[in-house]
Amino acid sequence: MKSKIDIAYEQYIHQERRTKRNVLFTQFLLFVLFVGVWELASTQNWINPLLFSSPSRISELFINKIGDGTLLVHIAATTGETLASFVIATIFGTACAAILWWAPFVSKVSDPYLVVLNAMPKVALGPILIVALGPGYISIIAMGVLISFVITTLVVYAAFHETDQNYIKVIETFGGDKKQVFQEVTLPAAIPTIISTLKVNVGLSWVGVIVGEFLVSKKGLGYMIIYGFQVFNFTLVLLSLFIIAILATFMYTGVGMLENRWRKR
Amino acid sequence: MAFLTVNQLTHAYFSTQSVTTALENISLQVEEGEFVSFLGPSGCGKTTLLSLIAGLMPPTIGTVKIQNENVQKAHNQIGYMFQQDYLFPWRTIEENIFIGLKIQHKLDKMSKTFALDLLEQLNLEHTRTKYPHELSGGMRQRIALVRTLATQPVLLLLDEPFSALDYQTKLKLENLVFNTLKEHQKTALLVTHDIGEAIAMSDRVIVFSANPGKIKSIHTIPSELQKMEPFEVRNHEDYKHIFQTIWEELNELEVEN
Repeated sequence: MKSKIDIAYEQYIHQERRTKRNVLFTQFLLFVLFVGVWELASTQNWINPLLFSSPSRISELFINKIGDGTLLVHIAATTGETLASFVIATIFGTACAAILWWAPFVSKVSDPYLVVLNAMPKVALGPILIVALGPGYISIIAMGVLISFVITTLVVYAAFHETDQNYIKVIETFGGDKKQVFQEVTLPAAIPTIISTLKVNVGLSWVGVIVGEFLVSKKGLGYMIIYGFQVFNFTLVLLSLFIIAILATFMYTGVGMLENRWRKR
Repeated sequence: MAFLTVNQLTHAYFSTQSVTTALENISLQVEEGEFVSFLGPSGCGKTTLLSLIAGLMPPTIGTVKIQNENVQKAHNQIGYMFQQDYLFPWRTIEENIFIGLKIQHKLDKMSKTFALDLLEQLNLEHTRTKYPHELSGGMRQRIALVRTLATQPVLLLLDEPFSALDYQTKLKLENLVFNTLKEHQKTALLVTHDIGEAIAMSDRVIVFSANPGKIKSIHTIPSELQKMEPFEVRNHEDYKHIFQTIWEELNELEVEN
């Protein structure tokens, strides 16, 4: 015989499942509705098809571009550049934060400069980068790094700085030196912060790389956008936008999974 | 020569605006195997004194000597217990109790066995692979004790290690720490603001006055009580008298301030 608690529990589980199903269904419905209305509005000329294109034209172009292999080249270029700038910015930013933590004098001296660097719109440095590093993927990666490393440094340094003094004291009472304090306490205590800056950096790296591609490149999704804009092919622009959105979501989810894995430990 | 000698110790904290004298002219001696408590109101520099003895910072004036050697930087042979356990949340219990050994590059088969034996003695071997957040406050403080003892320190500094625990756990842990330290024949200094705890655990109670911290008086606990477990001491007849004396003294201090 089932107890009343068991029955109530089953009802609860049932209710939870139903809510989840409803949410998923509504999400799917919204998507279908959006695509449907867009297609209809475009074919009926309610919106300018030249400017807003239509889902069918975008998917047609997508299949074409996949077929002739050009799209994959663009995707590979942009993804590679983004990943490179993301990884470099995170490592470089964390390393700078470590130096600031290690040498309080350096941190005090560099404080106003970091504030200025952080406040400055890094995109404005684009032209200088291109002249200095040449019109190629190096400039684009540099753009991506530049845009996210200053904020990484500041946030990670703050996390290093705010480590609970008592944990540091534990290591010191055992006779540990500064290097051991960093290895055993400061760095591991800051890992959650570092992971959350990764999330910010994913977005910023994309901004940097796309802007970089706007300025110089001969391939990549940013190039596709600027090319589509120049020849007034907005189907191409929209296709690039969709692919960027999907790739960025993948990267963001990846970082999220990393975060979960760390939390479980 | 005494085991620990503190000689005319004065310590001040500086900021650009002011100078705060935390301790003034402290001199005391502790014999090997002795258990001494520092009792006093907050702001009497008890924790500062422990930090100076541990060598975490150099004193402004005066010297600290352990086994006739000047304490200059953090001493390998000192064990420090804090108000809270401060176990590293990202390490398992096993990794936590090995941390001191790891820092001192003494992590080998023998030291590991020693640490794990201690864990077993305190009936905690089942926690080895767990993380600190899975355990209760009392268990965590016991593991902190294992972590402290694992490096086999000659001198233990206890900085209000029971103050964050509930009363019952505190009484049990007092007994446990007392017995463990006696068994391993450790010299220990306990900072506390709990009069009962000081009497129950120590051989001597040193009362401090505040602002700046100075030694007010020293009470030697009768040898009969010294040998008893803390919980028994609390029930002993003489306990009340000693409690009363120290209580009145601390009250006077408050009036003076």
